[in-house]
Amino acid sequence: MAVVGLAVTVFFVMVAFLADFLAPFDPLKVGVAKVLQNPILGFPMGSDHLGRDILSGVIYGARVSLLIGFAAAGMSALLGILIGAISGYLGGNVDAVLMRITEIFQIVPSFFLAILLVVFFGASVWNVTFVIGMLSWPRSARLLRAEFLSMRTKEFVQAARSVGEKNLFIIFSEVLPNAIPPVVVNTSLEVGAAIITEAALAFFGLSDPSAVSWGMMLRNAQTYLRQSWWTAAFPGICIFLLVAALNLVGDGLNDALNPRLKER
Amino acid sequence: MKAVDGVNLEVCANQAVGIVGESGCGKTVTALSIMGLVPDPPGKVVGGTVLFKGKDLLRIDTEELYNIRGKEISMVFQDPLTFLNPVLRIGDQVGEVLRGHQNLSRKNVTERVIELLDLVRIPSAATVVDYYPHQLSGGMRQRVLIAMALACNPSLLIADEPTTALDVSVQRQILTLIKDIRKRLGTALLLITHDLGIVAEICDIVYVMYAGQVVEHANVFTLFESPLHPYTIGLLRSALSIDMMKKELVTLEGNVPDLVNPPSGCRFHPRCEHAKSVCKEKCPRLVEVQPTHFVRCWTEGGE
Amino acid sequence: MTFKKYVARRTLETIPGVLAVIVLAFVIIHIIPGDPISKFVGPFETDIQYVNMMRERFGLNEPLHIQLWKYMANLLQGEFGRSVHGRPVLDIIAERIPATLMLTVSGLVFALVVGIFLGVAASRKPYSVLDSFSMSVSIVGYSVPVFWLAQMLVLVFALELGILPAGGMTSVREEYTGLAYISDVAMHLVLPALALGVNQLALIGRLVRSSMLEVFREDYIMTARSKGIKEKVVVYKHALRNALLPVVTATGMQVGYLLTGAVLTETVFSWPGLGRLLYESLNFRDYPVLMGMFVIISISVVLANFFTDIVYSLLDPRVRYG
Repeated sequence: MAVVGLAVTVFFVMVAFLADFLAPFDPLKVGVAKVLQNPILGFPMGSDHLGRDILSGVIYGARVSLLIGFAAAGMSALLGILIGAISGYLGGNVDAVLMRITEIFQIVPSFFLAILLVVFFGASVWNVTFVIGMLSWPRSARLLRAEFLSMRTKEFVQAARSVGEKNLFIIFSEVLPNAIPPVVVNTSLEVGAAIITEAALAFFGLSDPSAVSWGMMLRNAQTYLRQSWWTAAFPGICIFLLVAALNLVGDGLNDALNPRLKER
Repeated sequence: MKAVDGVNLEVCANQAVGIVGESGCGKTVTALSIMGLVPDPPGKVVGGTVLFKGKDLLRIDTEELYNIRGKEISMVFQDPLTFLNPVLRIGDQVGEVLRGHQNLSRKNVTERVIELLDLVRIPSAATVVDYYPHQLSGGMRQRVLIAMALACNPSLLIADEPTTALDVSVQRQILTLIKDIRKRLGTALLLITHDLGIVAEICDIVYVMYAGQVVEHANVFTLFESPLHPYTIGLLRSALSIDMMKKELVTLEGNVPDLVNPPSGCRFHPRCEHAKSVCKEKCPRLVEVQPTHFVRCWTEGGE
Repeated sequence: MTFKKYVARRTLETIPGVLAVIVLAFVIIHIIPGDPISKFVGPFETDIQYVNMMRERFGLNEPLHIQLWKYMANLLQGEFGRSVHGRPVLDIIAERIPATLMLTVSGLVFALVVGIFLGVAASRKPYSVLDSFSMSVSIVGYSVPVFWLAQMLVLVFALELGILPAGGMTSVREEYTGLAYISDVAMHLVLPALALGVNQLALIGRLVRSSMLEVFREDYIMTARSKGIKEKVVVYKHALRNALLPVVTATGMQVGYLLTGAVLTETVFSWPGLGRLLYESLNFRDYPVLMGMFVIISISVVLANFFTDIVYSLLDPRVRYG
């Protein structure tokens, strides 16, 4: 199943990459088709209330979703690794303070915080990416910190230390390799979550107006749902397929990288 | 891998039979297989019969098996902490056996439960009925397990290392309790243990198991007075050396064999000081060298 | 520790959480571009007198620590400022809460009931073809965007098949009372609760399955079987009660996501709750209401975690009777 997921993900990535060649129209161009045209030859996914081609929108939307998804997840991973490493390695007061901050971010429901931040700072692709990335680091941070804490007491670190190896070297050669797998799995799941968050924000109107987002298309579709099922069905199913594919990949990675945790 | 290979066991009414051996020799699996409790997966019963009062327990249908479990045959397990359900009250867990097998009113069930807790000498039984397992001490919990097993007055009680997880003083109490109950109720007992001392005290007949096979069995006096199998002799020697607090602890050389790849021929030969060449090649059969005394050994009377 | 002590301790531990939310809101108000006053009176307020009164009230001319103090005090008294439409923020939010609560609870109940049932069923035949299939299905269920699912449900059941209403909490044309009213609301509740519950259902189902598998390996299950108890009883009475404990904890942690889903679902179904309010406030740039919603929703999540803890301690006798 994970392979299927990977295939679908790659498919979407290709579509996003080749958007300029694949899309028949400029997705933002108004009036290329009749308003609320149902799917026919020439406009296989129909058009929206402003006569914009849905197929083109869907193709370019892949770009936005994948971009924001991977960028935000990557950012959250980096931030999480950094904070988790500092916290786990230094311990003591630094750890206590950082963990309190992490807790606060975990308690507060991140979607609402994201809404606030995007409303006030403006909804550009960069902002949205930044906000989503900023709010998902707690998980990675905790994972990494836990690894560091358990590693600290493990024998081979103490052995390495006693031989006089520099701390940094220990970190890179001994600690990180073990800590990376759970973080990788977590991050792969974060990509899917980031894509859904971005779509949800767009659904509330908080997306970059110059970039076509699947969530935005769903928002537009909401008013015209009665007359035009295609305006909602196609963009939405893409979100669904892409996220499901990413989650399947993440699950597969989990089975592969964490064999100890896998049920017998 | 065969955890149990060709074991023949017999328990007569009112008799106490002990199975002795080191951990991993297959004694627990033997006991579990009687009532069809071997977890499947990963285990599986591949052959043999279990005759109880004329019926083969491996072939009866599930309804009948449920009727026998807890009512005619019941089991007491080793670690009372993990073998009691932490979220159910004591009264509920003991009462379950009664409600499942007998048609008693609610009030009667509670009365009978208190009676049973009294029987196993749990103080303030009426209060304990409402307790949860974690609120009792280890010895108390083991008594509860025994009470559960005796609830329907079974013909056979199987006890798997009933005292291993307990303190020495508590062990003594539980053993006395078991002896008393046997006297009072006449229940047959199948006792599984690695402790020869317990066997000597309670059992009439003893089976010694090694690496999934029975290597010797006889009545208890014969076994202790004139053991024949080198393994049995080794066990007795090391047990006695502890008892008599000799300066040096006598132990058996070597380790319990890997059952996936058991040693060729007699499974004990790598550790046996009397091993001959035939011991490496062929596995001896269980032979009656004296009336009711059986041994599986080339040196002591095999063919 | 006795139960009372446990509750007391948890209550004490919850307070810093609530305060942290308020402090966080305060920080946000001040780091965001724009005059902080717009977060209390909105960006378009023209009544100078009112604006100055609010400045006074929230101490916006005074040093930061005094501001924080006044902010906290105001919030705890229910003073959140006024919406751009003129009404007090707290009133507006409060009147929407019951509808959201109804939807959220319904969605959760649906997810729990179906999720537990499916999880138990899967655990009884682990590693079978059916089981692997249901595992993949659960990943799919977890991935579906709730607002899109809501739209699709509306399309299929309301617009195409016409068997369920497409939106709102009550039928617009009729004025029902009593039992008819309840059944009318219930009909309107079906699709939104269904949409909301699907994500959680997938998670709960997965968790119940793995929890049950773990419990089946426990020793006390062997004891139960040796007593001759019917398998059904073993599964539901002995195993499930133990397996549900981690489910309670996990559900508590999911409350934030549940509320997020509720808010999105409400938008699609025009359900008169906080979700609609959020949507409208964003359109109108109603900052005071947005800030107020953030604070109240966040505090609700903290409280929900607290309640989940208490429920857990009631269910696990090892905690309750220490």
